[in-house]
Amino acid sequence: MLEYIVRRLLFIIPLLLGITIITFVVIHLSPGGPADMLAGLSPKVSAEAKARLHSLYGLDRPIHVQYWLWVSRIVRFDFGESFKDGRSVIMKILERLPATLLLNILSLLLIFFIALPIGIISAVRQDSSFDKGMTVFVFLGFSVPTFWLALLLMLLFGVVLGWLPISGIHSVNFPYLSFWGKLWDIIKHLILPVFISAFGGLAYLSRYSRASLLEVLRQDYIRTARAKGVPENKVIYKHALRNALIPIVTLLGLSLPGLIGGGFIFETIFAWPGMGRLGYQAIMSRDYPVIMGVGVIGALLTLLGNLLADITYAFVDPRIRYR
Amino acid sequence: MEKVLEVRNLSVQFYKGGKGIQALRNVSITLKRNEVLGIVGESGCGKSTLALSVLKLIPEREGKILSGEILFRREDLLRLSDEKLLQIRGDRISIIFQDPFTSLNPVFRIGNQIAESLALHRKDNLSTSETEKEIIELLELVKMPKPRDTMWSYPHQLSGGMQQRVMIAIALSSHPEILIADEPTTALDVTIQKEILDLLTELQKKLGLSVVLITHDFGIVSQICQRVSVMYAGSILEEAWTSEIFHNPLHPYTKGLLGSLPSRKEAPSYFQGEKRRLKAIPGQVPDPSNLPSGCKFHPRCPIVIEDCKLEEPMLREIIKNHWVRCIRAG
Amino acid sequence: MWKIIWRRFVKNKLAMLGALIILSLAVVAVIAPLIVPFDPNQQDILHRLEPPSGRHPLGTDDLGRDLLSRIIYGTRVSLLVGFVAVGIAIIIGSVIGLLSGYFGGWLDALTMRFVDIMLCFPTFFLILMVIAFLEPNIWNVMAVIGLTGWPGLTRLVRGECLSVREREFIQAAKALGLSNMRVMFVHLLPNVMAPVLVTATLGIGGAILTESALSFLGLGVQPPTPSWGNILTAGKDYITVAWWLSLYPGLAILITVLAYNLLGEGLRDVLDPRMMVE
Repeated sequence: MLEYIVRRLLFIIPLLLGITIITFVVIHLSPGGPADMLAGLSPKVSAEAKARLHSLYGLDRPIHVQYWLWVSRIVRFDFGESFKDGRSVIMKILERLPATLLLNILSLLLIFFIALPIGIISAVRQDSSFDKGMTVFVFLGFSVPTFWLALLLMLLFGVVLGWLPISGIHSVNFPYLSFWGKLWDIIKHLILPVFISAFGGLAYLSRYSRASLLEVLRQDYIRTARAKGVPENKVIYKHALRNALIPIVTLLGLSLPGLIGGGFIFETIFAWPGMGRLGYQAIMSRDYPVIMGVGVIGALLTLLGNLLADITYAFVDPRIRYR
Repeated sequence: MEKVLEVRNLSVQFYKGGKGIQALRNVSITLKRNEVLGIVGESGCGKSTLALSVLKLIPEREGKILSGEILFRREDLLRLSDEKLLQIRGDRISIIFQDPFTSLNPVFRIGNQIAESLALHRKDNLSTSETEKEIIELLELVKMPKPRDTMWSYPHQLSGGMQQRVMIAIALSSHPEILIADEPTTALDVTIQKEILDLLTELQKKLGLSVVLITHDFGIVSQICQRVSVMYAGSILEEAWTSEIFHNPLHPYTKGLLGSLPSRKEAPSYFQGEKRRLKAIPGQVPDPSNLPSGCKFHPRCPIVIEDCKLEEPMLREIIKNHWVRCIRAG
Repeated sequence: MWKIIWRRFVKNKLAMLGALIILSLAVVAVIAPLIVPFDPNQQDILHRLEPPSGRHPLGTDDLGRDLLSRIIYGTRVSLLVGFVAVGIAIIIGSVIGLLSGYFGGWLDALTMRFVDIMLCFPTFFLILMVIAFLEPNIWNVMAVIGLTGWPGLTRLVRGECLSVREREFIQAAKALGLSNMRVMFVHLLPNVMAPVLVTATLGIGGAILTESALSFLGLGVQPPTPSWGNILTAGKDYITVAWWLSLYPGLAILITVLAYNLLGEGLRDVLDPRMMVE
């Protein structure tokens, strides 16, 4: 297994390289890139910052040198300073990261604990009305524009019913609340965004779980378990599930990047102070250092998610663990 | 000799592409105590379906038992409650399958899988160390080299032969009365096949098992079966003592399988337990959803006559204990 | 063989439903100018933010424009983007996938490495980044969605190629001395198309969702051109006073994408390897 993990890690290096190259290319080659933008900088940015930028990008040097300079800074997570307010990009990102991670991890947990049972029951009671109903639900889940769903739910729960807040991570009077008050406040703010964020993943994972379990139930070793006289519920929950979970758990790790990607929209709609919203605002205001920073960090998190998925897989499947 | 298992007029239907296909049509077999009964036939004839039906192992979505009875200890297995069926499965009647690799759960260690059977069927509660001891004894019984190592291994770490030995160990852990072996050696290397067969023969004698052995290979039949039933297109065509059927096959299909259509001079050589491959009989096994009229073998039969196409023949006892389903036999 | 496919297709109720809806939408898109009750861009400030009524069955937006007309015109945007974006992805993806799968070797290794890298990026953010640097308009949107979509298709096509390439008729074609190009495009391609078709159909749904999300964020189709997504932008701003602005455009997206998903899944069942036995 160690060999497997090492191989996966080695695999990541060219990927990292590729990510940096692509991000670099995208930024530099598109119209409105650093070269152009340097010409139209707002006066708010100090002369020092401009000079720093100039050297940061080495805009007067050949392109591969620029790239190299940029990469050597990236490795130290030095993305320069934001154009908007001159603050360090990495600091701005780190401030927002916890909010994004909170949202995403909670979504993942929600997805797992709801989609999995749905998938299992659908598989065990294949073609029952539950299964058929869930299939309809899944189809709708795949087809609905999540930002629209967000709007509708905001409308329903926030405006019409007034039960839940519709923006931010905490209310205006947050600092004045008790500890439990603060906790409850955050939870109230989390409910809608987490649910919306999880929605798409719910549909997908419940479908996937169902398929995975159905596939496992077709296997010979399930027949053996029955032939041994194992009661049916044990056949499913011990023998089948343990095998079906392998690809499912792997999938969870792979879902993380998807959530991060989608987070841009939700964070914007719900005014959630996360990395996604930062990225969106940066894009709208052409704040290149921030854009690049968010892009690279996002890709990095994706890679991390993939790596996590691979490691989990190696752990959970004895066929990989013991060669 | 007493009958230990009796299948009477079993008919089983499969669902394929929305249609029902009759996999077994009024099949009856009898297994006597301490006997090894062989069921021979080409693939698709329904022999595996027969094996699976005994323990009702065909999933509801795939097939349905239409009619018949399966008598064991004077009870009809097909009408047992689910709980009672669980007490029979793996306990009084055990079954081992063709491909041991896919039949073992890949995520549990071997010891764990054997221990599960012990926990399910042994009335005395075994402690951990007692269980371990049992497992090792079982593995030694099936001649597993290095039983202790095997116990901690996962299925994919073992060879095919070893995996099948594990299956046998699991099957025998409860000291069953009946063992059903569905093509236990087909998926194994030729060299290993003999070892496993020898093992099965030895265990059968040692433990006094009654065995139903399903195979497509007459050579295996000659080696260990006392009695043989030949199946084709979901029904039994011929049934007799092994020696009898080799010396005196009466059904044209059996003769074809034995490759003895022209003359029977070579009959004695079949007894040496030499491997006999199926000689190719012209034509193909019929499509179960589109069976021929009358005798199902008639399109491929070298001695077919008009009457054969009209009505399916009954099973007749032509010689004592030798039954044939052919109007031209005897 | 095509006849069998057609018969199976017609029998599949879900696929037929999806196809029907799509066909109707296509018709609506084409004859839009003929059926709209109002000019979608005609402002009428006096009647802004009016709820659904006899005159305006779906209400009006913040500039008094008839919502129904705007939604009808939005159909054009969605269908156009869907087809073109996925078209781009299919063409690039299939060609590269074919080349990679057919020739194998270092070309294959390199390509797949590149595809892996592309797939590493959170797609949506990549699209956002690129659009932000380019000018947001419908053409760029189509191009970017297509350009971010081809890696997935390449992987699919290449996988299919690898399995089909070893089959006899390909060997036969090569033995007959047919040029590589011919073998690839005339013999290999048709057999590889089935899963591509399924993925493409489902992909159109995805492209429409992406476009609406982009337009919603202001980075896609720009007003005054109506796109279901950018109508929802107004919907968000006026959510407390004009629920119809939020409900109807989203419903349009939902129905359209649902139709494509039904069709795609239906095609998947119909084009199942079951029938690829020949």
